[in-house]
Amino acid sequence: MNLTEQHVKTMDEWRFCPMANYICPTARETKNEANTPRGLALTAYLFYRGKNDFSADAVRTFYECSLGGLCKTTALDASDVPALIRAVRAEIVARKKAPQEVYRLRDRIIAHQSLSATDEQATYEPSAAADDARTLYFGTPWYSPAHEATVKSGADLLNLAEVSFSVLERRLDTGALLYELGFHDEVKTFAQAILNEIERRQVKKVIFSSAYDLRAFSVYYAELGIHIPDELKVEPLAETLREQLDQGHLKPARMISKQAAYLDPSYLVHELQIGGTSRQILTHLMQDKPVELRWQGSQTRYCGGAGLQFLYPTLARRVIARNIGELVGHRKLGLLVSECPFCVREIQQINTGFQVVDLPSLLLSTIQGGR
Amino acid sequence: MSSQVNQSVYRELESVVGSERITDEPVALDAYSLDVWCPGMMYVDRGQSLKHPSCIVFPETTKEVSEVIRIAGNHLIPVVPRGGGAGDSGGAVPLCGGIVLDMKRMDAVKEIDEMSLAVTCQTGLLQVDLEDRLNEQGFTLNHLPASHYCSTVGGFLSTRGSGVLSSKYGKIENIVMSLEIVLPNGEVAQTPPVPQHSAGPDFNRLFIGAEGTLGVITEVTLQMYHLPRERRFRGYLFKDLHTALEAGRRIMTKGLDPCVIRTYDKDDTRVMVKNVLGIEREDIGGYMIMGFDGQFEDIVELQERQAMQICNELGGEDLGREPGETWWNHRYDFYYPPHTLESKHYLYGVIDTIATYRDIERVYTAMREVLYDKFSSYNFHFGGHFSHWYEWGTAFYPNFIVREPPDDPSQALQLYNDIFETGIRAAIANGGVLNEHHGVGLKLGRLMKEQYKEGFQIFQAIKKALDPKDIMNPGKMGLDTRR
Repeated sequence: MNLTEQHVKTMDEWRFCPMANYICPTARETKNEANTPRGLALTAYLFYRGKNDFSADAVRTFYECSLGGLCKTTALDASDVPALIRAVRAEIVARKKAPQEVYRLRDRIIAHQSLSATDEQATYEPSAAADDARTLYFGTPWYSPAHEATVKSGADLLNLAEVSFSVLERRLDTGALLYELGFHDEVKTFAQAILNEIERRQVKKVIFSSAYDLRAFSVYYAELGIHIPDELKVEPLAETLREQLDQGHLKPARMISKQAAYLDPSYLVHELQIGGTSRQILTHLMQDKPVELRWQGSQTRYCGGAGLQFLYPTLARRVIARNIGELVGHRKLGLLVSECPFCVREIQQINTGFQVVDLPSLLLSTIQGGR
Repeated sequence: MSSQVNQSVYRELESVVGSERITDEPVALDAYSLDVWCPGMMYVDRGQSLKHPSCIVFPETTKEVSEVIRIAGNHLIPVVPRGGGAGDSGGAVPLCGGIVLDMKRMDAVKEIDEMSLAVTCQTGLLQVDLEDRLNEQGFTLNHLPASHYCSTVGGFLSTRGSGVLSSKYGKIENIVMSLEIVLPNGEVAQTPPVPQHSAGPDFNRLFIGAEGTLGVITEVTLQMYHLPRERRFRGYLFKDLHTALEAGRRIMTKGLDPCVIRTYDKDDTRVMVKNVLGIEREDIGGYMIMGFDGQFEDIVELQERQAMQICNELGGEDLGREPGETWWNHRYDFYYPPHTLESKHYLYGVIDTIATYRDIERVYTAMREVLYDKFSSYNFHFGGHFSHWYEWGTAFYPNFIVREPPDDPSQALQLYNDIFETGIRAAIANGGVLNEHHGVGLKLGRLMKEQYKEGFQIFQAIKKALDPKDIMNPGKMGLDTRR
């Protein structure tokens, strides 16, 4: 098995340790200890020692993980269960042992640069696109109507703030999900296409409509040894929007009166150590203080579970329904705000009794001249 | 007697819980073959495996538990109830195969009675989830063991768990009001709604600590408390362990009601104060952390002041609040990666013992001497602390580490057992009692007869009467059962 020293150390640290079992979103729903960080590290160890020949049931548990990442934050050392799981998935793919659902999803992404090729296709391009701008607004490929609203609202806001930016003629996928599924070679191709475009346009800064793709630039490409130019600045859209708000280039014309809460997408906190910016924007927009959900900030445990949503949607929905129920508890909530396209997509599909919206769309709705 | 769940029995079980809540997938059987019992982990480390269960069933209701147990009884199949799988005594290891009854789907809080300060819940509920729920409403169990984050309420009940605040709030059995139990014949029994009654024996105590050998505790009503408005800690250094123990004894016997007293022996004192406080001194032999809490600051203040006076009179050196607060804020850190023991493939364990004040120091000395005498050649370490204090005595929580255990898992297991037997026998001979917070399980079962002597037949007779088919967690607690 192709595991780094760090992966082996992670396996050693976790294969008998139950301390993160309770925070694993998938295991909280299934209750099956094979789904826990301990169970996965133990199974990885059995793969590693040749005691399990990548049996189908064992392989599936690795794809049932939502890579939320709180187990990584919980550890007091550098052990990283999500990174171990990604490495094991790569090994599974290399051995051609992945579940059929995984190959079907890969094929769909490669064929359509989209996760929802059978859905309505995106048609929007920003009106004020400036091809010679050195800032690239990276509109992540079509995931869902919810996500498309994020991309479009983000572009509208940048235009309102008179930020000069360009867009890609054709949406390119960073390959973040492909990487998580274990298809490393394919991701290298995806990354190269984006980096070529960045070089051709002499881009100095990339603003990501989805922090999910920022993760590819900040974490995954480095893990694959893909070089990102040192001088290239990358940031999530929320960061740009806060800057524009601070500088007065975006001026909310009305305040939000609903009882609203911000949901920390887990990978932002645990992989990128960011997440406060969007909460600050929401606070800025509200008449009262935002409602604080349980287990936010460094304790955020939910992940939209990008792969899980597309591979095992029934399980994913059960996971998110349980998680949202636990996060909200007895709190009265009119509005839930997230900057993760997968969270918004998935929460909108369960019956919560409150509105779910992405941050750019919410901000745009409050700004004079916005929709 | 069969330990196998054949296809026909599997279908029967499936008809009770549905196909989503039963599995015999090998990946799950691997995960459920272990808990945190050190020799089990050593077997896996060395390329071997423990006995696997035939299947895992995830009931959601008492009725489902009852039906599963009836089916198991009909087919003479072992049933191993399992909570968080965090015990280090092997209590959840399916020694004879059979059905693992994963209780974690039984996680409902049924009622919070704010007037009587009582909470009723299913026993598969993770304690951390129960405590979170209570905290949100201003309450707490004040039962906070090291495995707070990974064990279920049922796990604590089955092993008579103790939390770090036990000196004031007691062990789990002290906060149990009533239980619902599924008996080995599938019948459901309920104990009276309050524990302090005179309606005959206290049946709660029969099932608490029985580790699932007498039935499955499915529901419990626990006493809860208001969250304390004041909680404070203080550290003291003493010239030797004897003086530190005497300080603890006086604090307890004078009724000062500390929520925490932790007194470290000489070796652990030097390690602790060096690591935590940066103090390296040869003239210290005892380190104590004490804590006081409650609803009223002036009472807490008075209790602490009186305790400080006791410590000062005994020549204790006041270290202020920081040591205790540091311990409190980081008390769970040891259990998260980086693990200093497991990942280095050490053999380790805790030989927890409890005794009266008259005997405890003698127990400590006897254990220490005999263990070092016998096992020094294995790069052996032994040390610990005294926590869980009562009006009549205290518990000694020593750990041992073998840094160079044998490679062969059978030899490692033999050594492991030998260390426990040697240590526990020295404790028993000097007035100590088995006190493993993780239960008796596999680890200490063979010592139960030595602990209870003729009295053990009471437990055996109860087992035989309640579980004549011997299906409930066989092979545990020293009960003579199939293997």
